[in-house]
Amino acid sequence: MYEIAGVHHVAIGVKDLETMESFYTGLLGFQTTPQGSPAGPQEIMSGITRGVTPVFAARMLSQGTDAIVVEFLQMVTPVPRPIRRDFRYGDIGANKMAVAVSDVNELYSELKNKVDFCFSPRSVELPGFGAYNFVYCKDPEGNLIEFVSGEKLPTDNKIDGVRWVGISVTDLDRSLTFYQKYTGFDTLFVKPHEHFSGLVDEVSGSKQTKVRSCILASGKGGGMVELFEVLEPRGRSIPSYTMWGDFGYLQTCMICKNVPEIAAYFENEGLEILLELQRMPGPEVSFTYVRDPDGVPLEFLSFGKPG
Amino acid sequence: MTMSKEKYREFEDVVGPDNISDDPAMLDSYITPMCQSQHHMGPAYDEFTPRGLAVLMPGSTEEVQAIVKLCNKHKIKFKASSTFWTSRGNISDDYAITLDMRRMDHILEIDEKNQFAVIEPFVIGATLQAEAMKVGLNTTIIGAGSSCSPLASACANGGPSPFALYGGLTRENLLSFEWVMPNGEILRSGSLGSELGWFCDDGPGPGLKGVMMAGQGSMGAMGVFTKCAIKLFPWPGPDSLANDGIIPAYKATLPPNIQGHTVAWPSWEAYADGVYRIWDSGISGYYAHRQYTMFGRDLKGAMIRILTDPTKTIDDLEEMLNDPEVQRQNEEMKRDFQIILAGMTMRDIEWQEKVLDKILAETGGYKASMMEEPDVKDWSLLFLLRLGHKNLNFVYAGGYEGCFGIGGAPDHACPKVEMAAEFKRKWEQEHDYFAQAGGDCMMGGMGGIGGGGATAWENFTHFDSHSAESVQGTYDFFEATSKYGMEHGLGAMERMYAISRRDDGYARSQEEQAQRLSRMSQPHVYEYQWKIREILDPNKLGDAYYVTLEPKK
Repeated sequence: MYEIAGVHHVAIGVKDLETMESFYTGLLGFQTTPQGSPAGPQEIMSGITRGVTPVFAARMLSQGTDAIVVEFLQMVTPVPRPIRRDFRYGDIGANKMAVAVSDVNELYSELKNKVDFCFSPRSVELPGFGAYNFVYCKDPEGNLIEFVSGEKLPTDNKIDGVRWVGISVTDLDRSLTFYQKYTGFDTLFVKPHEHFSGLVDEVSGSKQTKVRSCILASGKGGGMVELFEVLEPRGRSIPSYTMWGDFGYLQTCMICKNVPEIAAYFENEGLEILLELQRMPGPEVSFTYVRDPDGVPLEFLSFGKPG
Repeated sequence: MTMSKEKYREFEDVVGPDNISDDPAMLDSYITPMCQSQHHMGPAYDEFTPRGLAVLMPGSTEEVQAIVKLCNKHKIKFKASSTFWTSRGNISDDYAITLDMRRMDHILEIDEKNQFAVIEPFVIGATLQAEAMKVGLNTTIIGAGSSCSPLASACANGGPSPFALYGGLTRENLLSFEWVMPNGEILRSGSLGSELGWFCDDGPGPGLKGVMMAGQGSMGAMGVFTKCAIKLFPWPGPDSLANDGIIPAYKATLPPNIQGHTVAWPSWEAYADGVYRIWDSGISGYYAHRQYTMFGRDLKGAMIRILTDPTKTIDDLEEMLNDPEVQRQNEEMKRDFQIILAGMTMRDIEWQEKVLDKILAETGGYKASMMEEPDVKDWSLLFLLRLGHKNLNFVYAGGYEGCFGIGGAPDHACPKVEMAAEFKRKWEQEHDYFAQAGGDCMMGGMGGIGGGGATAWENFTHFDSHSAESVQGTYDFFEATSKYGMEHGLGAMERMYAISRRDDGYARSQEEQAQRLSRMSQPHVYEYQWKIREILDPNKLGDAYYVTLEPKK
């Protein structure tokens, strides 16, 4: 029987591994884990790069055992390029990470001269959550990061790791149904609401942004997913020529038990398979990639023998 | 970005399963690369217009109305296009659907006596012209060629045309029209709205054309035009353009009452005088346009030789440029334009020819010798009357775009042509971004409105749409022409639609438009358009080609 226990990692295609690693470890307190790999061919991933054997380096960073791991991928082959020349808040796909912090205002004061913040901290009352304090910034390559604090988000450290990945969708209700059914998110951590409307104009580039969103969690723990539908201004689809490894947020990976069984289930359900079931030689690691209703890549990963 | 199955089914119920698709491969056939011809935004490499949610092919006004109502229900943007000439015909957002109007392709009526035709969106100029000629009439073929839709030109564009001097712009020929407005209501204008037929575009009171057309045409951003009546004008030629020859050297042998010439002058000042005299003289100027300079001042003679000789290809171009006779004939055509005289009788054409000869004699002009050769003349007549060779815009390197945009009275505009040509020639010599054609690729109409009054010019620039370096170099060139053009009164049409669409193929936001419009001296027209859109398109489902500015409170 398979189980899905939340988000394990989020992958970002990067131009400069060293600069990105330096930002995340030096300024945000992440630690590099041993799971990375130097640049080399990864035949097992050739299905996702349209038959070309990809050559890339990977580095994994994390903050604490429960937080979502951030994976940087620096592609060599195929030659990567930006997914988009510029970023818009509502652009479809994984496009932000939310990092839990003990106090957003304090963090902002400390980092405002070192980090590219999009605006100063804001607070909004969310039903069932209470005061939601947040601020957005961009990392050195323009990827969006949200810092959040609130009573419902207890922390052990000043910066306490990535708690959820933000995925922009076309139709929140449709995506909510999909993620609840297929990705194991059985709990609504924050129910659908529109309270962020007008509060993220600087990142959407438009006045009076209208946005609906919710945060999904798994009862089995692990990282969460925020789904948000920007109603005004609408974002853009993932460009059809986008290649895995291009610069920007690439995928969200769920940690599971028994991926082979999940892969068979997805196939039976008619989900769009992006990469068929792969088993790593040696260690008992298996994974598969599917697309959500908007074409957003989702990875399902399991370690150890199927239960 | 994809449409939910439930919404898809609602649209499918309107047009049927065979006339809707959200297949990515199908949708990708409706995108346009931003590095080919954006008419006029300037090229951008590796960018495309959005794919959108779905494409639908409505078959009737009722289906169009039902689609628009569903779009309002779900707040989905939409854009209808007939022949998708440049990115103006493509949607500007991903949360949008494309209406491909190809199923509505009927000429509903040709009223021979009252000289008009009633057409649907996908009737193209060539078809309408062929049918009109059967009853001794003709239609304005726009500069974009006979494969474009006269309805689209008349209702949502200006319809600039080499036939404008005689037959008017297409928008001037618009009679009654049927319009599914952005809010889903149907408006039938003028006599049609009173169930009196199609003969008149407006009734008593304020005219509606300005409302639906906007300053320069709404480009499909203001609802869907489903039928319209187009005024036709006399065609004193045969009932079909029988052609012979071998591709690409097709030619039409026409009766002697139809004559085509390439007229030229030794200076731009004399050229301007000649244009004024032609306007004043009353000769037909059935077609009056500087056409073949699209190939470039230094290359056009050789290109005409290639196009009229089936044994030649573009690979012969360089060798032909060394031919002294081609060089001489090319020099003859340095400051030229093409004119067709159409006599209603033989006496009429004889009089028109005499008048033209007199004007040329008195202004120092002449008829270019190459274009008087019978084979070339017959080829040129077919080319110009049909305007079916738009592919030749792309012949050098796969991409083209016009720059500058000189408009106005001949004595103002014609001398400026040389400034624009010299500016481009310098770039051609100093860089390798686009075709070296002699600087002067200044195409232009010799009569912006019926009867004359203004000339209009754009400088074609032929670049390699597959080369990032060529596209970027051309983009940089257009940055330079925009600056130079604005400083020296040469216009900046290469950026005309950059106010509506960004380099990445997506629509400008309201804020971006406001920022650009705030620099304009007369922004009120856009404030009025804002008010009109608020009434007719409250859900803002049209794209940014209907340019608006929120009035100051």
